[in-house]
Amino acid sequence: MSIYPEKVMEHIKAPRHAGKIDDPTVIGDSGNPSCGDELTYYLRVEEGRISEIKHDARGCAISRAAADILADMVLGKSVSEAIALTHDDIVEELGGISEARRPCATLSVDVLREALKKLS
Amino acid sequence: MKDLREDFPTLCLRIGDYPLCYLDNAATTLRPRIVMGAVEEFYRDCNANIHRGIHHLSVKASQMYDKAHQRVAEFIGAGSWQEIVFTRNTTESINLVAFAFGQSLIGEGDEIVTTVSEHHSNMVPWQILAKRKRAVLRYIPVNPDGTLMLDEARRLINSRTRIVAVQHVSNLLGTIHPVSEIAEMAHRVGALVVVDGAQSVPHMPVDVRELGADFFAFSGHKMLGPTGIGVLWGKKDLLEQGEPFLTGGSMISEVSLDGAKWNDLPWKYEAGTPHICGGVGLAAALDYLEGIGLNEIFGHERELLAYAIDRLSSLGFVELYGPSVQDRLGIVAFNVQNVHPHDVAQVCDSFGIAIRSGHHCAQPLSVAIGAKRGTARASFYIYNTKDEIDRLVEALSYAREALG
Repeated sequence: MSIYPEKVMEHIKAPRHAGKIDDPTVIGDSGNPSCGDELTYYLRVEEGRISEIKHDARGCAISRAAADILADMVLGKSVSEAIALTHDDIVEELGGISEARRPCATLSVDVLREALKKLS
Repeated sequence: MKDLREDFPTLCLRIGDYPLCYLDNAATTLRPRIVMGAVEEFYRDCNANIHRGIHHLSVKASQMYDKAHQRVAEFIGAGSWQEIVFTRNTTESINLVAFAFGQSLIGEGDEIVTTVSEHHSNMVPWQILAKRKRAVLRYIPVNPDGTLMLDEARRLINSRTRIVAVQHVSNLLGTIHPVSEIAEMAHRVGALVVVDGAQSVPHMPVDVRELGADFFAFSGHKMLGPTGIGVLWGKKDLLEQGEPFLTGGSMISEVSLDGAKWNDLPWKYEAGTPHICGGVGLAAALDYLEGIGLNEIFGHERELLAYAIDRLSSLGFVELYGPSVQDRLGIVAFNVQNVHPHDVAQVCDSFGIAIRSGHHCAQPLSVAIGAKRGTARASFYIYNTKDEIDRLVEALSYAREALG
């Protein structure tokens, strides 16, 4: 039986970007008060591009997987490209999660945007 | 208890490969055929607006709607059918009291007492009223198991207290609160007692006057009735004194360009065309519940609760919240170690099991019992079985294995 799409399960079991950057260019930190999910992104930005990204995701499986998958999506991208990513983009990338869990997934996009907007 | 499952067509649903296992009854219950039939019959054979209609169907509809008030009055031990106001739900009933009575009763520096355990519906209206009137809102705190600290209640309820608002049964933990004792404290200082009975009336015999309430609110949809029909019971002399809540049609006896006079009880508080078939459906639900017997229902749920707590605690990886079995109704809030409650609910769903996860509209209580991220909650009703609890146990073991 599969509870979540295979991609989500992979990122839960072996997140690629979990951790912290000691001297980040910028940090984003927020949560969903209604369910207690919390997410911190650490970003290093060089010449307008995201050269390194780590996260500390403390929440449900979907929110943790989304945090890791979004980090995959934006690594190497320009700040403006990353800011342009939408809620629909991450939900689509996760592939087949229930509508009820949408806020779990979209927290990642909100935290990332909040961090990157500090740069402009 | 006799097998009632055939009365509930929803129980025939399949969710994926599994038959539906419905354990979300504290949110809303299923509806038996007889209730759906009563609603259909009303629209088919009656279907008219009530009161002041001369034609045959309007008279019939009015009689049915009036009778529904009478039916509710009998069910909860009210003094008269005129003490029964139909609203949309518990939330609206409590807002009605906060507006119709709170506005004139509460002044600057007066005190309102409620509890940390409340559903948001019996907390937010008092927060707003207190803020608007510059009154003081005080909360009776809870013990770690969610029971109320009665010594604190004695200290908090004082001569400045005007309203004491308390839930009868917790929607998160199933705790049965000692409402009579709290009502006594309130009445000693002349305060009004508002009781949220949304989780008690469906599951145990309740007599509102014996309980010591001045107002008592509950919802039809949590007791087999339609959604959108709720009840406010109030003592007649109090209801007569209150200001109207919503205004306009039906709630008046006479209108001129200079003003209006209010209609008799309960219509003074039922403005506009009400949820007529909702009242009729609720009356059918009450007939059905009384046919089983409220003591029987209480006993059945108590047995399921004891079984569920026994099975879940033996798993070793499930944290349970709430007081011991004798102090509660059939609601179990829990967490699976290292698995977020939303993930637990998702795993259950993939086994065809409907439970709820989150704060259950009682966020301050979640925090107070140490479940900042919320809990998963299973809640039982007349049609649930021990086999269904076994299915829940199986799903939780899977959740622990796959995600823990």
